[in-house]
Parts: sequence; structure tokens; C-alpha cells
Amino acid sequence: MSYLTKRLFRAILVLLGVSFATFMVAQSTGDPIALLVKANATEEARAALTSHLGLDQPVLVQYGLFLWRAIHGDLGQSFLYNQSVVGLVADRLSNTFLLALSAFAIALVLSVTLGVLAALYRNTWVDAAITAFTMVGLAVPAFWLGLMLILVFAVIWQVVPVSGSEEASSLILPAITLSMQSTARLCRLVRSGMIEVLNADFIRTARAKGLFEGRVVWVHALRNALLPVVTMAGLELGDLISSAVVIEAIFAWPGIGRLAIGAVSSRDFPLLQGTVLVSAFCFVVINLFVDWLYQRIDPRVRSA
Amino acid sequence: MTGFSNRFLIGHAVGIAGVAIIVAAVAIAVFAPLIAPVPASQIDLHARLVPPAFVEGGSAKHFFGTDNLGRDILARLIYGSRISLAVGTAAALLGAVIGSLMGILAGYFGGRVDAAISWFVDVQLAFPFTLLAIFLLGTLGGGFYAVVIVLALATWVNYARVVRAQVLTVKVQDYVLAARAVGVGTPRTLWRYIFANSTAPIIVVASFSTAQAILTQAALSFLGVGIDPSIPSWGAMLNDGREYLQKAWWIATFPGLAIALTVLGVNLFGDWLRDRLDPRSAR
Amino acid sequence: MTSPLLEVKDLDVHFGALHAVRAVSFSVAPGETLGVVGESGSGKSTTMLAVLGLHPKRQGTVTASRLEFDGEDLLSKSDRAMRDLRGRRVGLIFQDPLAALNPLMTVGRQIGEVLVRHHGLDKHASRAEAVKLLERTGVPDPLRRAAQFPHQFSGGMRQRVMIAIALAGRPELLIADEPTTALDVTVQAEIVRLIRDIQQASGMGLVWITHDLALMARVADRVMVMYAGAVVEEAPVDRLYATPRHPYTAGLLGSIARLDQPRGVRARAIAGTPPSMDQPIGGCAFAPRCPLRFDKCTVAPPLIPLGDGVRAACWRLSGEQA
Repeated sequence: MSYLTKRLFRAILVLLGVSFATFMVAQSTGDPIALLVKANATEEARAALTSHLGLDQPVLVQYGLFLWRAIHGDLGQSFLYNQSVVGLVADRLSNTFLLALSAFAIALVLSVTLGVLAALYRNTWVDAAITAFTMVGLAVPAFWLGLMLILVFAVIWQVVPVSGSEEASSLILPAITLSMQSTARLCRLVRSGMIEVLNADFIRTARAKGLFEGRVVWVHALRNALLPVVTMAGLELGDLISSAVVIEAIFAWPGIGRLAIGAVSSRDFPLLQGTVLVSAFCFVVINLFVDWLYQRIDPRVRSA
Repeated sequence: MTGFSNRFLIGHAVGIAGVAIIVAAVAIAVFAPLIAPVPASQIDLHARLVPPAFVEGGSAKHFFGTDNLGRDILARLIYGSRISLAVGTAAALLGAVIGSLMGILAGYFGGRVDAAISWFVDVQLAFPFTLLAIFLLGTLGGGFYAVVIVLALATWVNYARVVRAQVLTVKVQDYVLAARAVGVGTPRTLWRYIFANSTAPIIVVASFSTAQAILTQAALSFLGVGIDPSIPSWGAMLNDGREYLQKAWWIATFPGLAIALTVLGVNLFGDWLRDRLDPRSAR
Repeated sequence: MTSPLLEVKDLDVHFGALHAVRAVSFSVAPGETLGVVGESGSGKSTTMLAVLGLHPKRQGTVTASRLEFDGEDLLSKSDRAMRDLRGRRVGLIFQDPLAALNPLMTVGRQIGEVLVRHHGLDKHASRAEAVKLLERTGVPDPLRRAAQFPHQFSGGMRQRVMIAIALAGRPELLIADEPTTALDVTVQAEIVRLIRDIQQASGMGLVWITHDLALMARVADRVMVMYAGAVVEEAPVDRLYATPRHPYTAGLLGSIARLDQPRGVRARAIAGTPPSMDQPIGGCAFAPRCPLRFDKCTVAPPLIPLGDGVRAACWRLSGEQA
């Protein structure tokens, strides 16, 4: 089996686990019929709906049915919005992705720049300042940073809108807020990777060839130092989507986070289940893509 | 090599600063009733939204000001440390227990057990964690213990990784093989040697896990999920303060600083410990 | 003797308190092979990297009373001028070819970038030239191999790639730092032959660093023996092996197993370990391990000329100065 086939196989196994876990947790929320029918409904009506939904079947059969429907894009109806869950989630998920990917882009640019600088000026005040910045970045809660940014930029200076998603500029604050922790984490990764690579023999070779320092650092060293970053990229994006859930609440960003919180407060379990399941599905797909990317970048993995 | 020794000393100073912050935070949490100027939930409707003492219009009675119900921010910060630290350490400890056990099983049995556990890890990591926590706490119910269990889910993987690697190294050591050859139970030997060798890395993981748990717990409280919002906690205070951001910035500002400082302390300690254990990483 | 290609006088390298290279002097003429031997940590590689300015300025300080390549002073050269020299006029080959090659770049590009940098070739031309260089260094199927990555090559083939990189700039001086140490014995012989053939064809000066004395006897014209960062003996190769003058050299030669030795005579290792280099060494650095030491050895001996190009740093030889 090739590397990617193996990965694909594994991804399918993971998705089975994800769907089963989600299904089992949702099962424990109690009798869905009570939520679906009116309190004064007849016994016959209840029984009819129960058998229509397959709720009189053994749990595993029910799971099979659930999976079958899920594969066909049916995750049920939301009580709250009275719409199909898949449509709702897909709509909101694209907003969350926009936010998470913007934050990821910011984090990448900042962390590579700062990480390389810290490595090049290792043990100087530049390095110390960048390290201090990453320590603070890791400790500050993102949602608090968001509130503080709102306070400064939207309330005091009034240069960007407080919340919403109507204008492009309303993406700026949430994306910066969200990127902070990733920037700090990746910056540490780039710095230590760069320091290790800059001491590698092949960097000495590059200098022995008389190459300019710019080429040595940005072509020879950086590409190698970025390998661990690529490995972490999938997890990092997962973390960003996870944190986005909180950030959305602050900036009134219409993503899956707000959908999920709304679903919890109105006890809309199919919607909650669908949100979780679809996000996990996307995460698995992203990681598959990262595996493919990694294989494109590192020739050693490609032929292994 | 002055550069080296400077950095070494600075590293120590930073580690000590981390320990000092942790000790201070724990002391504040333990002695909260003795330190707090007033009870955390004491409402004073005559003193609503009083600014901090060092700001114009502030009162010396309320050093960090009061919230929308006239509750003293300083008192709430002091009591709020209890939830953060209790949840943080409990989640890190529970994660350590689950993670070590899984790590030992995976490393010792290898093969299918290892594959099953790593599948489990992959499944868990596939969920965006905040969403998973909202889902679990929302469907199965909240409360202190529920939050601890859910946060332990976020941390056990890190321990499992460290312990599994340790088991794999120890498993093939001569003394384990020798013990097995003379019929001494391998699990017994493993248990002793693994714990002799992995306590230090486990403490490192525990410190980072505690930091992670404190941040996530605050985020969940901020979202109003999990811990009862009437119990003073830093996350819930931030949530209260959000509404009053324009009128009373201090309500949201100070709990955030408290979280940041605590997490910074724990992280500094963790970094320092890791650098001491693995000189290679002390760059 | 023709005018030297590389001339080094009183070279010192410090890394903070560590005095890694101590007053080293030597020269290399065009077409000549200078062998440099010594234990690991004796300063062989450090000396050569210092000559080429390859030590980061923030880490090491390099001083010398004379450091000239082809009559040009290297110490006063700018960073830019040193980069023009490296890879073009001086080529380097390192010990571990896997570590010395960038794992993420095709070997063709790694050779070609030297040509782009120093000979102004464009990407296309540099690629064609890289294939020619691979062919010249004995890599079979060079067109296909140029598009491959280092991990797809065997150890010997990787070292051929490394040699191709070093030759790409058409250097006048080649510095080979233990080029065969990391290789299998059978492959070693091929690489040695390749480097020697190339040197003979091009007339380059060659500095060959090794701790393999048997190999040294085959490749070098002159040999410089280093101990604890300093030169202890320098001599034409046949003189060195026939009559080693410094007790350390004698000890080294005694410690290699020889096939022509009678059975039962075991190779003798020199007792003790080299001194720590981060403290000042008072007197002769080898004295604590030297079987011939006497009271004079508390003062550091100079290199004493002994005629026929032989120099050795030992007070025992001071009476027979040439």
C-alpha cells in the first residue's frame, strides 16, 4: 500500500470512530420522540414516528441507519431553525473556515518571520524579545485578547467595526485574535527548527559553495526548518477551528461556534450533533491534505 | 562562553519566577477567605460599577473596582483562582492517570493494542476540542466533575505519548529481559523502571497540561458552559464584563490578566524544567 | 618550489575561552597534496574552516600573521569577496555526504547552484553542466540521477555528488575533510582514486584531512601532524613514515596495525588523553603522555627545522637543529 492509501484507509477508520462516538453521546440525551411530537400526541402517532425513525431497532442497527443517512448528506432537521442540519452547518462552517484560514495565514507569516529572526539573532536582545512575546502569546486567553482589541480599536479608537461579518474589515480583529496562540506556538517551532538546521552540515556546504547568506537562510535552511511546521499544520488548523468557536462568540461572527452554543441553549441536539460531526469530518479531510502536502515537500517520505 | 552562562542564569531566574507565580497563586486560592476584603458574592447595589482605586472616581474600598452588581472585583479574583487552579490541576492529574495507563498498554503490548489506542487518539483529535467540550457538557450535563473529565480528555494524549515512548525504551533493556528470563513478572519490573524514568517528563507534560486546562476552562466558563456561572471564576467574570466593556473596562480586564499571569507562571516553570531535563532543547 | 597557492602563518582560532587552533603555519603549492593528520579534536578541520572564513564571526575569532591565497590576503577580504572565493577557487568535500547534502533539493540543483552563483549560468545550462559533472565523477546514468534526491544515493555515490559540487567552480585548491571516513572500505578506495585522478588532471592543490595514517601514506606529498590544536611535526611523506621525529608521530605510527609486522606484535595505543583545550596549556601539550619527557618540556617547544623540509616541535630534537 502506498503512503497515501494507508492514510486514506486510516482516515476512514477515524471517521467511523468519530461518527460512532457522536452517535452514542447523542443517544444518551434521552427519548428524541418526546422532543419531536406534541405532548398530547396519541400513542399510535408516537409508535408510528418511532418505527419511521427506526428507534425500535437495536442500537447498532440504528447507528447503521444513522451512518447510511449521514453518507447521503442527511443529518436530520434542526428544531431551532427548522432546516436541514447539513445545510445549516455547511453554511456556517464556511464562515468558520474563512476565519480560521485567515488566522492561519497571519500566524504563518508572523511565526516564520519572527522564528527565523530569533534563530539568526540567537541569544541577543532580538531573540529575548521574540521569546518573551511568544511566552505572553501562549499565556493570554484568546477571548480576553479579543475583548481588549475591541476595547482599544473599536470602542476607544473606533477604527474597525465591533462585530459582524458584513464588511471585509470586520474579519481583521477576530483573525488577529485567533492567530495569536498559533503564532506563538509555531514561532517557537520555527526558531528551534531553524537553530537546529543552521547547525546542520548541509548549511556549511551551502556556505562552502560561496552562496549568498540570503539563499543559505531562506532557501536551504528555511525549507528544512519548515518540515515540523508542516507536520503540525493539520493539528494547528484543528486548534484554530476549535478556538474559533470562542472567538466567534465575542465578535458575533456567524460560524459553527455560535451555531453550537445556540444549539446547546435551545437543546437542539440534532443540530449540535451535526455541527460536531461535520467539523470533525472536515478536520480529517484537512489532515489528509496535509499528509499529501508533506509528501510533496519531503522527498524522503515520497519514496519511503 | 559568557553568552552561554548568561542564558543559563537567565533561564534559572525565569524558572524561579514561574515557581514564585505558582506558589503565590496557590497561596491565594488556599487562603482566599483570609485575604479577600469582602465575600466574593456580596452584592452592594449602592456601589455598582465603581472604577479601580487608581483611576479617577475610584474608591480605596474597592481596589480593582466593582462589577454591575457592586461585587468587589478583587475579592472575586481571589476566590476565582480556586476554580481555575482546582480544575486545572485536577484535569492534568486525571489526564496523567488515563494517559499513563494508555501509554503503558500501548507500549507494552504493542501490535493491535497499540494500533487501537492510536486509533482512539486520532478519533479524539479529529474533534475540534472546544466544540467537543460544548457537545459533551451540553448533552451529558455540566458541573465541576464533568468539566474536569472533559478537560482530562484534552490532556491524556500528551502523557500517553511520553509514557509509551518510555515503555518502548525500557522494555528492551537488559535488566527487564533478565528479569523476564528468571521469571520475574515483567509488568512489575516495567512499572518500577518506567516510573523511575518518566516522572520528570510527566511533570513537564503536567505543567503544560495544567496551563492548557486553565485556559480551556476559562473559555468554557466564558461561553457559559460547564461550571455553574454563579460560582466566581475568572472565565465567568470575563463573560459578565463583556456586556460592560464600554462602561466598565475593569470588569473584563483584570480576570484576563489573572489568567494570563497564572498560565505564564505554569508555562515558565514547564519550560525551565524541560530545558533542565533535556539540555538539547535549551537553546 | 613554485610560489605557494595557500600560505598560512601563525593561525589562531578562539571560541571564547577555547583555544582551538594554536599558531598553525603551513603552505600548499599548486598540484601538491598536503596531508593533515591528528586525532579528532586536534584542530584539523577547524584550521581549514578558519582559512575559508567558515566560522561564524559571533562564535569564533580567527587571527594570523599571514593568511594568503594566491598572493591575496584573506584576512582583509570582505565577506562578499570570501563568498566569491569559496566554491569557485576553493572547493570543499566533507566527511559525511548524507549530512552534507540538502535532503530537500535534487542533487542536480545542488551542483547547479554553484554554477549559477559563480559562472553566471542560467538554470537550464547549469543543469546540463551538473549532469556532465556527475558523469565526470563516475555517477552512472547521470541524467536520471541529477533529478534525484540525496537519500536515493548510496554512500559512495553521495560522496561523488559532493565531489561534483566541489569541482563545479573549477577550483585551484580542494580541501577534502576526511572524505572517505564514513564510507565502506571497498568504496573508500574508489573515492581515493577518483580524487587523485581529478587532482592529477587539473593540477589543483589538495589538502587532505584524515586520521587514517595508512591512507595518508598513499595520497600525501607532505604530511602535517596536529596535536591539541598545534602542529607537532611536518615532513615529506616518505621521511615521516621512515623516521618520525616527534614522539607523538612515532606513537601514532606505532598504534597502527601493520601487515608486515611479525605476528604477536600488537599495535600500541598512546596512553592517556589529549589535554582540555579551554585552559591554557603550559609547556609542551604532549608532555603528560610523552614517554620521553624531561624537565625542559614545561616550556612549549618551537617547530625546529631539521632539514629536507622536516620540522618538529620537541626539545629532544633541539640539539640536531639543521
